[in-house]
Amino acid sequence: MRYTTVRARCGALPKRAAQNPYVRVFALLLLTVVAILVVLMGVWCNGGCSCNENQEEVEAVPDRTWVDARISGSMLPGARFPGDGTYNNIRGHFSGENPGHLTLIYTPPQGIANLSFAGRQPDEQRADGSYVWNNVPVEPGEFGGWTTSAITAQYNVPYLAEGQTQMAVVSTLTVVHPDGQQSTSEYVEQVRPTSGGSDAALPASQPQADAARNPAVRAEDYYLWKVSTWSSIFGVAMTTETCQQWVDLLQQGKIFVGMRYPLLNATPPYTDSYKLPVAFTGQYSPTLELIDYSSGPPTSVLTISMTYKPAYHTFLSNALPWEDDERWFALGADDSQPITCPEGLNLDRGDWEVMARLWLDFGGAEGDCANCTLPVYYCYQGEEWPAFAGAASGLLNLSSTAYEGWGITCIGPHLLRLGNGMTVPKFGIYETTNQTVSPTEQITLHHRVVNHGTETVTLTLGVTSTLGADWSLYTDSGQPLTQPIVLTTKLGYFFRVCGTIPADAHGPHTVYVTATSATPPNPSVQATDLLWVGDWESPPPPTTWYRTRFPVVMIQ
Amino acid sequence: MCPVLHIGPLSVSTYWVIYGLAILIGGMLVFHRFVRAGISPQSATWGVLLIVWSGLAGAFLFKGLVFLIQNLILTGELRWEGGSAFMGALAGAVIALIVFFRRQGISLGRGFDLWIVPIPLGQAIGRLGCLAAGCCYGAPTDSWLGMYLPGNGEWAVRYPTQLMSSVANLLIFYTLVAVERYGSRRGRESWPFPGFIFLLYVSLYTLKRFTIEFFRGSSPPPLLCPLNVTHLLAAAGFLASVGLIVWNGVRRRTLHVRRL
Repeated sequence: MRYTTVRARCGALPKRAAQNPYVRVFALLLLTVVAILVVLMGVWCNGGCSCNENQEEVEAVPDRTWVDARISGSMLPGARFPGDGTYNNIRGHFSGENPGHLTLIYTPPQGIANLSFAGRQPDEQRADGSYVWNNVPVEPGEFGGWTTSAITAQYNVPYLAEGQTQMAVVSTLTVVHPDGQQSTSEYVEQVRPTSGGSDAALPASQPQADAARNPAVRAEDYYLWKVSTWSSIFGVAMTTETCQQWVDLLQQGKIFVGMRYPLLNATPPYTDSYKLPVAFTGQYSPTLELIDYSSGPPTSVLTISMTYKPAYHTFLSNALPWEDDERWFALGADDSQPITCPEGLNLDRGDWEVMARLWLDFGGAEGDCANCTLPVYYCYQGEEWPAFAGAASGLLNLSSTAYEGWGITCIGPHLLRLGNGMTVPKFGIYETTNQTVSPTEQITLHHRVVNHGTETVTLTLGVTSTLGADWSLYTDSGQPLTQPIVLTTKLGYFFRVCGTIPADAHGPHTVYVTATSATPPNPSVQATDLLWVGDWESPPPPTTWYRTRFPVVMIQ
Repeated sequence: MCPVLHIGPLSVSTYWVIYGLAILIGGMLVFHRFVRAGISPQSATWGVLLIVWSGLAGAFLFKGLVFLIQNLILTGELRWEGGSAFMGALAGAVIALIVFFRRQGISLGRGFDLWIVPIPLGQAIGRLGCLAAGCCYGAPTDSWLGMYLPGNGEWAVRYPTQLMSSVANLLIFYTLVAVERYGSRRGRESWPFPGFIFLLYVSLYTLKRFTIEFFRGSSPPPLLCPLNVTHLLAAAGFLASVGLIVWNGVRRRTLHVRRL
């Protein structure tokens, strides 16, 4: 009987509640909400609200760089015979209003002889081998704009070393506008043995019209590629003293980054001078920043401006591979002003990172060089590492394959892929690491894959390496990773790559981590971890080739 | 941030859960106000559901159309992108309400005043969903307002535009309630004229949106100098609502003088 009463009460309650209009409205609204969740979560716009969700890696530049640096060669550009005399005509150009004057900085090729200038003598020769002309007056240019009078640099190209089949000689010109804007171009000539003389058939260089070099792109339509990379030295603390030692080392100019880029819209035989792609315009200038993660939001502790290092262009163009329609440039720390690290700096291991940021300018059109893959090498010039850097040499990627004859070692390539939200996968792998490791050591590389798009993606992660080791993937909590992984929009997924370094491994190695979408056409992205296995090896000393002239004594 | 809630085997977007919560709380308050104003519970139920459904439809249609127009202007392409926008929800709900109030025999001004008060409260809750999802994020900043927040996957110290919006919406809600109570104390059902509270809401909301748009890092690209399409729509809404307030105020004063 008691049981029946309870049942009656239980049955009566929902009935009464259903008659309550508030309960009824609440139930209907709840149903609506659940329906929204079911429909939208499964089908479309998961997590979206009124946001612009396109990943824009290109950015508009409000103030267009109109400065242009031009180098042209002699009538048979592109090839010289060893020891030949040749020349470069160098000019600065500006497409805007009359700047009054421009500053020119010319870096001649390495290894040349008998350098002399005609037209105007340099005001200064810098320690890095470059020559500076300050306040060079401009005159109306042939194709519009304002141009400096040509200055001619004459020299003899180097002789080839024994066994060397050819050599690229690279000259570089930077033109600086009075307001600080600047542009840099490089000019490459090939030196080949006399017997290989097919170069005479090369067509002469045609001067480029201004319109072609400065496409009529409105300032608000100008696009740059923003490149940001983060690096840290695994397990190393950063104090004021350590920071200063690194800064001094960077400012000595012995550490540089080499990057290969394609010549867009250039035509064979690629004998013109070509503008280097790094932007140097106000905030769009390359920098290295030391980021502090120790307390609260990341803060920038120190900023170092970067600049081209033309002295290394000849090395890069000779020691590292490139095709006819590609060029190299080197970037390093600006040494014009001494930099002091902040007092009291004491960042524990893992609490800091170095962020490198630069903007690449491939002509300003949206999508130019989209999907280009640019190989990046990290290089160090010198025989021995400073004592403080010691074991860290490998960690900062500053040691690796030694290039005999140059006294320089480089590690790489670190592949940099350019892509915007329209043309490449809307997901990326982040937090790449650089470590010094020992043979037989078990290592863990931490990564994060992020979905930037507006749709859920299904990804398969993969790992390969130059080590030949077996690699395993784990979740961030240490569980074996189950493939594929599904990422809703804007979601970041942390994972680990674990492996054991083979006992016989030594030197520089690269671990490639890929994420491939399950949706055709199966776009994929790649990140690289750079490893140095074992102890540091100093590179062989640089070799210099001398042209020796023996006196001939005529005895009668 | 907590973009996804894991409930057992289910993974639910935090954004949509909070969005749902905003609909529930806002909907219940609207229903309560309708019933208190003398609309039958049956009609009030349908009214609330009509508002929610048409608001949702408007939110998605509006967002899609904005992107469509923007893409057409900027790239010359006709491309549809998903998403939802509050301005669209407002427009959708207003159209449905016009039909509803006409059928109920309630003046539009009075009806809109009844309906609008809970809306900024719902918005204040909804913006917390944006904060959880990391969308509608602010531009990077060095100011003391900055919070370490994600934006399109990139963490940085940014203006917390989601929280700024949420707080501003709460302030708007309290302002509307205060104005309504002031009118009630004066013994007037609709003070100073029917529709004033609705127009006051539109002017305050569009002003808030116009201002916060400058701090957002997820805004559409500029169309007119530094102003983007949202700025322009907000400015138009603000001018129209303020214009209607002034016009109604002047008209009412003129009628009052004539009667005297």
